Amino acid sequence: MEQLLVIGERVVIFSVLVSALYALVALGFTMIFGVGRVLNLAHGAFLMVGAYTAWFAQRAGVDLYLAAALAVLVCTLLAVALYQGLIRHVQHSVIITLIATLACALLLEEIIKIFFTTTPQILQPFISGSIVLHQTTIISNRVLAFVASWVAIVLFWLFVHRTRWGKVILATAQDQEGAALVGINVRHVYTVTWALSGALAGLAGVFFASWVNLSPFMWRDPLIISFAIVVVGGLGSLKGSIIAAYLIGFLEVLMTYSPSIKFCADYRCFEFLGASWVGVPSLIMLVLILFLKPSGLFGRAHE
Amino acid sequence: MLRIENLHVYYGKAHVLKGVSLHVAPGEFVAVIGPNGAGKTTLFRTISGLKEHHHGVIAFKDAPLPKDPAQIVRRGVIHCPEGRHLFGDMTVRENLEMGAFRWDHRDMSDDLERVYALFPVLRERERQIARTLSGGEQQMLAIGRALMGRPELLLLDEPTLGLAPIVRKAIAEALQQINQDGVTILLAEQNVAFALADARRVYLLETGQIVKVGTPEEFRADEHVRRVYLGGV
Ligand SMILES: Nc1ncnc2c1ncn2[C@@H]1O[C@H](COP(=O)(O)OP(=O)(O)OP(=O)(O)O)[C@@H](O)[C@H]1O
Ligand SMILES: [Mg+2]
Repeated sequence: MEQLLVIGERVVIFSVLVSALYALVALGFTMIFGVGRVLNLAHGAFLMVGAYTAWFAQRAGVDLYLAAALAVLVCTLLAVALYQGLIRHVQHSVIITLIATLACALLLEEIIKIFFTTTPQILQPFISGSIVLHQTTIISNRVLAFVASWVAIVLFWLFVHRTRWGKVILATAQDQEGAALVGINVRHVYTVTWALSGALAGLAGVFFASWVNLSPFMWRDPLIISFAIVVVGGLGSLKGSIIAAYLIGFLEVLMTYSPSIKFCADYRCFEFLGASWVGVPSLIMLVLILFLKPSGLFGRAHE
Repeated sequence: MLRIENLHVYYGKAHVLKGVSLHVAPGEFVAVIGPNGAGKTTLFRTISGLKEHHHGVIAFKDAPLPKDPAQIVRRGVIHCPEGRHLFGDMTVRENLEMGAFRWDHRDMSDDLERVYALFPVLRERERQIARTLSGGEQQMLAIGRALMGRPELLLLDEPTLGLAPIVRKAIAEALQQINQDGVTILLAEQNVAFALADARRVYLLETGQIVKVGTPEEFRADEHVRRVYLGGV
């Protein structure tokens, strides 16, 4: 019984922590989908590039804060390049866009393999050590990732709802043609959303690396997570995404713990990301929601 | 003010506008009438840059219009589209503010007052989400949003389609007021009786070609128009 309470406590704490990161991971993906109706399958690969950029800079002796800034910059440029060079021309076709963004992800995977091999790498944390909360030991760096994720989400929300540029993005998301007819340059808006999405992915990549090792295959989980969050949370809804992130994060942590109750004394059993079945709850949720409420929990029927 | 010459527009292989020419003088209220599928919407979308044209000239105030819709809006040509295209999740007020987008940070209280004077119901519903308005209110909001851009030429695509007679009357009166305030209007309408009542000059568009132009009186006197479009009255 005591044992069970401890597990319960850990499930709650860890899912609260990891879900914030999931929300950040999905944020850029959701925005591009909401504004331009583009499913960017390269989103996870952007996270990977962010993580590797930070890791590479760190290895070269750069301070991690600067390395993280570099990761954000590189991912922003990468996202804009992908949009301007490719997506802009194929956006009208859903299928071609899916293929193009998936091809981009696979290409980035190959590039990483060539330059950095498939050997897993570790990004040294912003802060080391751990803190103990009641019966649970938490790696400090993950608390930092949690706080930073929420700060990024809140800043993003303020940007979208409180600034003129945010309003312009919302207007374009709600009616692209209406936006063009009041004089908004829709192409510029798309470029800005891709840049923002890239920046958020870069940041998310750095923090994602506080949960997992770096590898050329690390883009898959964040992509599945983002996909599930968009489907569950509804089209382009920020509130929906956050709730969906928490739902999915909670289910995943629960899944991690249920078969491993016997070694729950060791907090390291939480090193679950990268385990092959970790995406399963997301996929189950995804299928369920598609059956029960195809517009997502917070989507509207007509969209 | 607006001069279109020999305009050809295609959707893929379908030749939809086949050499359309028309002109609108400053201050005029001109209607383009024609049956479903004649190409009215296509013509308007081409003028406002949403659709590219294959061949022909579109000149506004003696200079060719740019290609980009956002640039065309900046020239003062504002299109209130078929289907309204409002920002559904924004309030009435926010939609109107977005309409003034091209004026950046300028004070728009006068413009808002003018729109509210034309359509008082919009003032009452200032905080309502656009998507939840009735069809008539949405149409008024769409016209109001277009006016917030301070148009010199206002393109209105079937603004009273599917609306009750009383709402139609309110909108028709507002259009007269807008025109008297100095805004040039080009109206697309498939209801010929409405167009003849509202406009000062009328073009008849049939399967992508202008087949007749004249005053409402001339149209009412025309045998073809009476038989086909006015039900023989
Ligand atoms: N996006 C499109 N792709 C292909 N064909 C189109 C497209 N839009 C319009 N058309 C075709 O172009 C022709 C003219 O259509 P348009 O919408 O301009 O007519 P309209 O005069 O506005 O009709 P209505 O009174 O019904 O609004 C029609 O034959 C239509 O099928
Ligand atoms: Mg039409």
